[in-house]
Amino acid sequence: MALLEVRDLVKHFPVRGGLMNRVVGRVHAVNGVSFSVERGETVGIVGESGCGKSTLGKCVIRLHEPTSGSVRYDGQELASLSHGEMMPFRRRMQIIFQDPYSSLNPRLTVRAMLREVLAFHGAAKGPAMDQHIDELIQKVGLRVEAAEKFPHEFSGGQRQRIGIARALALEPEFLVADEPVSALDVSIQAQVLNLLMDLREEFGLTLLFVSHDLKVIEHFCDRVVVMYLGYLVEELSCEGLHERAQHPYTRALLGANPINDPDERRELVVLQGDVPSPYDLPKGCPFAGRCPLVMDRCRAEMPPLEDGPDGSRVACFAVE
Amino acid sequence: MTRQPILSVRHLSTCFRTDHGVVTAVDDVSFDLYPGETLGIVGESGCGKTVTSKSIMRLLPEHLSFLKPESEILFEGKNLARVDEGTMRDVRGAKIAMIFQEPMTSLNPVFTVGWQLDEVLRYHTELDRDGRRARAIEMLRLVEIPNADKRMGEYPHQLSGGMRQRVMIAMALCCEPDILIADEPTTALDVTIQAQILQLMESLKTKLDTAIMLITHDLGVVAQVCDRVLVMYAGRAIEEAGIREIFKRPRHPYTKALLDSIPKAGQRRRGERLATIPGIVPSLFELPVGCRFQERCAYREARCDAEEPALVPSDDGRAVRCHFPLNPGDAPQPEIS
Ligand SMILES: Nc1ncnc2c1ncn2[C@@H]1O[C@H](COP(=O)(O)OP(=O)(O)O)[C@@H](O)[C@H]1O
Ligand SMILES: Nc1ncnc2c1ncn2[C@@H]1O[C@H](COP(=O)(O)OP(=O)(O)O)[C@@H](O)[C@H]1O
Ligand code: SF4
Ligand SMILES: [Mg+2]
Ligand SMILES: [Mg+2]
Repeated sequence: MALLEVRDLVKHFPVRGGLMNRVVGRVHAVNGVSFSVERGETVGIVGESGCGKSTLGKCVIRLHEPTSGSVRYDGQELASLSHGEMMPFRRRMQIIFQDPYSSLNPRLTVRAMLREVLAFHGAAKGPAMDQHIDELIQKVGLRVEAAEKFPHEFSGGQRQRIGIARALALEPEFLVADEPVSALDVSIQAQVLNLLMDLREEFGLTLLFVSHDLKVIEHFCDRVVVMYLGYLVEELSCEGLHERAQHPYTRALLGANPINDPDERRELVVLQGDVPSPYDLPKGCPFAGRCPLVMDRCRAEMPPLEDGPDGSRVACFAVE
Repeated sequence: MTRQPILSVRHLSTCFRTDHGVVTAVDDVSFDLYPGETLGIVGESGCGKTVTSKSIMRLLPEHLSFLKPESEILFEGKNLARVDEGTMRDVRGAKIAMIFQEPMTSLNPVFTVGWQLDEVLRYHTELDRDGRRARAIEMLRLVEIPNADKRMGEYPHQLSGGMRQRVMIAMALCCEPDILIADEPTTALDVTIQAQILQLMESLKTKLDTAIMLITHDLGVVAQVCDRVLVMYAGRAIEEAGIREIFKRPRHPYTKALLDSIPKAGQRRRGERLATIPGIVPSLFELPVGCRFQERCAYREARCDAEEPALVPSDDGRAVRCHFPLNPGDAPQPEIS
């Protein structure tokens, strides 16, 4: 049984407006997404900004209440749990964010912040707690003295290490990493990715890794889920990603990424137009408006997500 | 063939007065820009890329910053470091234009797209009202904005991020400047929109023969569009070379480490550690004696701590600031056609 099973997950945000502040529309952030994550696996979620990656990640650990659909963790349906029943799962499932600064309390030292987390869950007490904190700080590659500092005293990469320490304080099994390296310079990005790889190994973590950078996902993940306008359009293994990707959107993402080699300069794949608005979903394929392979049928009906070889899935009429 | 540079920056040093004293954010940087070429300026955040470009445009606040007296920005026989604001106003927009990472910083939210284009044209050209309108629409078409007529009447917030960046490019290019300085023009954009903008800049460069100074921290973008590269570190220019030389035979240990630390597309080895550069960039307030990269360098020796290397040009048109450069006596790599 998979550790995480997401079925037909939908998340809409009401849009309010007008004099009465009534609901005047909905943002269709996630539109019926299903996938699963095996224990020990790292699954990437990729797509352009606004396609629903963060919303999906937050629904999975119930930072957002899904509009409908099911999230099963270790066999347990999370949506039906009360606040109290959810607590043990909060220990097992953690999240790290893109911008560690905004998610850290500026008035607490690192030690005070970690104590709060541990005490809230009754995880450790007194000297044992401080020893645990010291170990944790060193695990994420900081010096023990860092525990006595405030968030503003750290660089971006160091703050991300603190965000990781906080997420790992309760020794979770499952981690949602929401663009954890996107705000960092490349040299620091590599440091933090290496750290995450080491910790993944050491703690046997299962990860949902959100990123808009397919290069990073390809390097870091086992499988990738490609999202467009809140829909899952393709899922495939990161092994041989470039050869196996079939959905025209995934192909466009791969082809639009410049290669770090001037000798492999090529015409970038250029899609026309912008992502459609998540307020009014198109009737057919969400990608039809920009797709180089579009056919009449694509505008009229939604292509179903079909199983392909090696556990891959793709939703496109043009793919055999 | 000896080409004449269109812009020559010599010993540019830009300082800021801060609460903690004066810092030199750009320290003795020199480079040339040639007509029709794309020069990449790369380096991690804080290394001085934006300050370099704003210094050239003289867009830094005068009460907070100053250029050291030896700084020269030579353009059309003038030293822009010294000219008065009136002269600068004629240069800005008409001869040297700049676009920024966040278009909203240069687009005015309370005016329509058409009004803003009109303002640039009113200031820099002799065109009458109809002429300016025609030119504005032509520019929007040139940057591939659909329904240009209609867009003229819209406000910046009604446009998507990619569309705003196009409008900004249209504004920057409407007087056909000799030089376009693009400061991280695609950093805030999604990769498919980035591809649109890069392609657009390429085709405009060919059409209008503009020299481009492209500032970015994205080495993939550099590999895709630049002819030459200047690498900066902690306010210093540390290496300059042609695009293939930089990528194939980097000489500065920092350049090499930066290239090694990017995951390579299509060469997946799951879980394999990436090469990293240990530590962080030094603060401008606590610069070490000696090489600024010493703490993070894999090739450091005693001399690196004692004495800062100079930026040494070599016969092959390259330059490097390191006591122990890598790949020293290489033959130059053939140019990319
Ligand atoms: N709290 C919210 N209220 C209203 N709309 C939201 C909220 N969070 C996200 N959205 C909208 O949902 C869509 C998906 O957003 P998000 O999940 O953040 O995308 P991504 O992480 O892929 O960039 C976007 O259109 C976004 O504006
Ligand atoms: N107004 C200012 N006052 C003081 N320091 C500044 C100011 N603007 C920029 N700096 C400093 O100058 C250095 C270079 O900044 P910048 O050119 O913006 O870097 P980047 O390479 O990321 O564009 C940084 O250390 C920055 O903190
Ligand atoms: S001068 Fe020394 S420390 Fe600096 S880059 Fe060269 S080898 Fe490294
Ligand atoms: Mg997000
Ligand atoms: Mg900058």
